[in-house]
Amino acid sequence: MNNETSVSQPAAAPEAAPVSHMKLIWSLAAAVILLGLAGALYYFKGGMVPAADTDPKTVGIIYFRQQLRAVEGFKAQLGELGYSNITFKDVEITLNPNFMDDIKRETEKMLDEKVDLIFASFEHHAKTAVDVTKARNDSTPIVFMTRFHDPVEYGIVSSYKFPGGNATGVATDLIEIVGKTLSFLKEIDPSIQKIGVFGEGFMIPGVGVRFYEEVKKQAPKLGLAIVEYKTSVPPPQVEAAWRETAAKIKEGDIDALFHIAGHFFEAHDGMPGQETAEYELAKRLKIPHTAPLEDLPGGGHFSYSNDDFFAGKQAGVMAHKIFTGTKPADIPVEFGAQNDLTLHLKRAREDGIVFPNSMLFIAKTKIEE
Amino acid sequence: MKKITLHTKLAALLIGIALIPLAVTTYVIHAKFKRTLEAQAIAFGHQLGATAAAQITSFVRSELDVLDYVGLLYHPQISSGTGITGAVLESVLFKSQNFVDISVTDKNGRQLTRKNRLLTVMPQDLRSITDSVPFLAVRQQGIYLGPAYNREGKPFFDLGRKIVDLDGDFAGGVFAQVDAKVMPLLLGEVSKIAGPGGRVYIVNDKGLIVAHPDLSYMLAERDLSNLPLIRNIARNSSEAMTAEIYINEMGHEVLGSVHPMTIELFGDSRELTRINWFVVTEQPVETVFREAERVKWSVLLIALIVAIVAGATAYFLAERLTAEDNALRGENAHIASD
Repeated sequence: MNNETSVSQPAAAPEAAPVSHMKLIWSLAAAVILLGLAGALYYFKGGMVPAADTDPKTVGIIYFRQQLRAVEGFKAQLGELGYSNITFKDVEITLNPNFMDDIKRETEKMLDEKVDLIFASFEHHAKTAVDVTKARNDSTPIVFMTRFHDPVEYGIVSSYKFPGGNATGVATDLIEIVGKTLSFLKEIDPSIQKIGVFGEGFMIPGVGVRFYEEVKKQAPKLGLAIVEYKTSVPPPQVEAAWRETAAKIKEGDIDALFHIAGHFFEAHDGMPGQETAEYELAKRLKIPHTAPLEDLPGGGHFSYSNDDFFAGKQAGVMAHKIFTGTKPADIPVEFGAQNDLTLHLKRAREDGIVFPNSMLFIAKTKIEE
Repeated sequence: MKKITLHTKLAALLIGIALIPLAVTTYVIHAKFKRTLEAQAIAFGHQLGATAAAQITSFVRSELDVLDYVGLLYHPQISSGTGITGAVLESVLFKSQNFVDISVTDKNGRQLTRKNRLLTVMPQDLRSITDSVPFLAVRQQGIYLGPAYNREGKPFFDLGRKIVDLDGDFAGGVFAQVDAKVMPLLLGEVSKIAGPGGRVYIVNDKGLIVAHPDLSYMLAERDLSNLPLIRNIARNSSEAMTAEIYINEMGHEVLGSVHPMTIELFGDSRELTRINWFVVTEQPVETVFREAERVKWSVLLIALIVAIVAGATAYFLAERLTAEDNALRGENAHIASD
């Protein structure tokens, strides 16, 4: 018997196709490499410096020529804070009898153009901007500077600590330096008694009036008398009236000249502006002449006030806070930097004005050229 | 219910053997690393607090030294006359960027002279400050350091220093109003060290801001006593060197630490003039734990790679280990079907 026994051999393990295995291996290797690359990217990304704020913004700036330093400071500060994509719409307002109308019109134009913020570099601009935005129910933030008026008394903000509304800013007060400025005149020449001032009619109502009131209030404390030159002619003729008045002033009529900021006429057609014309008068009379720092480039032997540039920088910081989400109402009004003495040594030397050592020692800035 | 194959079970076991120790180790190391970073950040916060405290103390002491020199000018047995000393006093006032007003009194509190950066002070403007807090403090302790206060957008604090005669008896005082705008500048510099989003500021024992890198906080006299860390100070001012994580008033999650600051100034009566201020240092949690986060994600990535490799390896190993078993099962099934 031929018994054939057939024993089945265990089936061989099915061998996977080599091509399929290779594919799998390569896929795994690729996945590992990709993951490694992603990890490296994540790791190094963590050490990168975030990009500067490049959100486009538009800032409307409304100013008088005298506040140009403030505008420069404002822009410089925003630049230092990393803003590189701001469009500034600068509007200079010329001091003239209708300047308030000009400010209102330009402010409305800025609001129509949907600026992100308004920088008003003077109280008149600020008050107008606050009133216009209120009337339009517009919440565009306003950062301001004041020079002659208390921002609370002037109705721009409700208090220093809690400004309320859509405005905040930097208060710089020229009024508070009047007494000290007069005392510096006394230091230059203790025999000074008569201070010449181009007052009523020669200064723009609402700008220099409060400043002049303070001059009149402080002068008697130092034994000084005010000699006021006035005019009643309407604005277009003020410049001619000023020249006529100045021509009549003789040596000895006044001992010093105090420039009241907020004057009427500007330089034109080769003719000097009022602060320069006053300086030329002081030069002729050989008497010291003082003017606020913003008017010193035009005329004057010395100035005691703060530099608008730094106030502008303070305002720039406030704008940054607003851009980063703080409401103007929550940013207290700040006061400007310290007042410092600036001496124009070149003019003084030419005009025979001698500063005492006490002033030379404490002066922060001495202009030689 | 479908049975899980031996192949799948083996693959899962091998993956588990590879990954579970890795996961546990990673978790433990990450937790320890975070604790180390937190401890380092707290120590760093206290260092910054100590730096800020030292800077403010140094500033106050330097201003008091100036007042000491002014006191010499008006020393009753040395003074050479008010004409010269008045001019020198004005020079001191203007050369210092911080003094706003300096006055000198005799031993009865009557002002002998006063210079102000804004006001023209005439002899008739001088008055008596006999009953004022600064004069009484200077007469009793030799020193006065007043709290910070605001006046129409201007932050100030007051200082006072005694004048003694050659016998060491009280002969008057020198008083100054100091522009506190220097405080944000000093703290701003220290805050920069705390890194982006970090800040260092000072509160009193009621949680009110005394000094802050942002002047607005000082001008608004912000009350931060609702922050957990500062609430602790207000509750128990003797509790020192605390630290915790909280959401600050700006909505940022921060690690805050408190460094008690006591300006100790030796006065006339050999007693200490103390002022209980607290330096708070805040560091964003994101910054503090940034390295731990980066390590966490790196480790997760590595774990993922390990998982893929381990998975593939486990798959092949399981396949090889179960190959013969599968073949037997296949043959058995074949025989059974015959």
